[in-house]
Amino acid sequence: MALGDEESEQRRRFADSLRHADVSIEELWLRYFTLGGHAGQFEIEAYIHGAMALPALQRDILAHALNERLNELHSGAPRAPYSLDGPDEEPVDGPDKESGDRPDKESRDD
Amino acid sequence: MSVELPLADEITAVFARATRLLLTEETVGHALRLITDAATAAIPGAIGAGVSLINGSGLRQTTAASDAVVAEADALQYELGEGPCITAWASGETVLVEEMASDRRWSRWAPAAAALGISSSVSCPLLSGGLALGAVKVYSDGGHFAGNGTIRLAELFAEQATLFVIHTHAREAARTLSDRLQESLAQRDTISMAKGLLMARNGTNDEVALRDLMMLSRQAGKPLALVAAELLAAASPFEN
Repeated sequence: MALGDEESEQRRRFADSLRHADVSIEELWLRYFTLGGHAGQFEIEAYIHGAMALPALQRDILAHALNERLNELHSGAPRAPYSLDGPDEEPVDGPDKESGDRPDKESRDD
Repeated sequence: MSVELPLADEITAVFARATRLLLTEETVGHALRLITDAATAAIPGAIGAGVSLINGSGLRQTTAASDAVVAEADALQYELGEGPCITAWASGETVLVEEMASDRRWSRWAPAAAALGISSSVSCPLLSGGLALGAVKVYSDGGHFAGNGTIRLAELFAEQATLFVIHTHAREAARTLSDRLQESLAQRDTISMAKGLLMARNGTNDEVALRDLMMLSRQAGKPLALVAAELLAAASPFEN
């Protein structure tokens, strides 16, 4: 499964943020698992390296885990984006997810 | 807030059982002692053997010594900061001292060791994945160690000792992971319950509930686990 454009962009910005987080893949995976993530550490590592696709929800949980780490560090680095954020939206605010109008590719990863 | 965490309890128990599959601290100490005894018995002319562990910051500790002379000769190396075990550890190479009294490499330690009655020694590094963990040493008080046979034997004992030392490190890592995993599972459970609460309240599925929690966490600038715990606390009839 190749990465779609949106996923690819989300992954790239995730990788940028990750560089500021001073966290190992193992620790990041444990944080992701703590938040309810389903993917294994191997899958997470493959996603980070662009070798494997992840469903939107799993990508967002992973982004959230990373952002919580950056918050702990009071880092000024950009936060990892979520799949439902538009490309130009501020990442931190706005209830941008009324359930009716999501792009279809986001709503079927169950 | 106190919450029953059956999953965390169960997995912790599984971990504890798995941990028991690893050797206990006493077993590892005993194994190292057996190795020093075996080295003493197997190497012709040996009077004693020891295993020293040396950590990254240079802190040294003899964990097994077959007798008091070995312990004393080792203690001297650490006090003086020089000696064949320290050289073996630092260089990653086996160090043979054929004639203690005339050896000039360690100007303070060699005469002191000779005064203890040690005439020759062989020290092998404990190597694991490019890291030197310490050294195994064998001392002689009469004959002089020489030849590849002695060195090869000492290196074999060093390899055995390395396995046990690696094992000890693995057990410590497993213990730390177990604590961290327990904490992770407790939080995961809290988050799971908060998802259920939102699902029932809003008539949504679990994906939407988790997205709601992520949004609440982002808006409040609080960790998701904390937001989940607060939701549960607010919903609990005992705490209102």
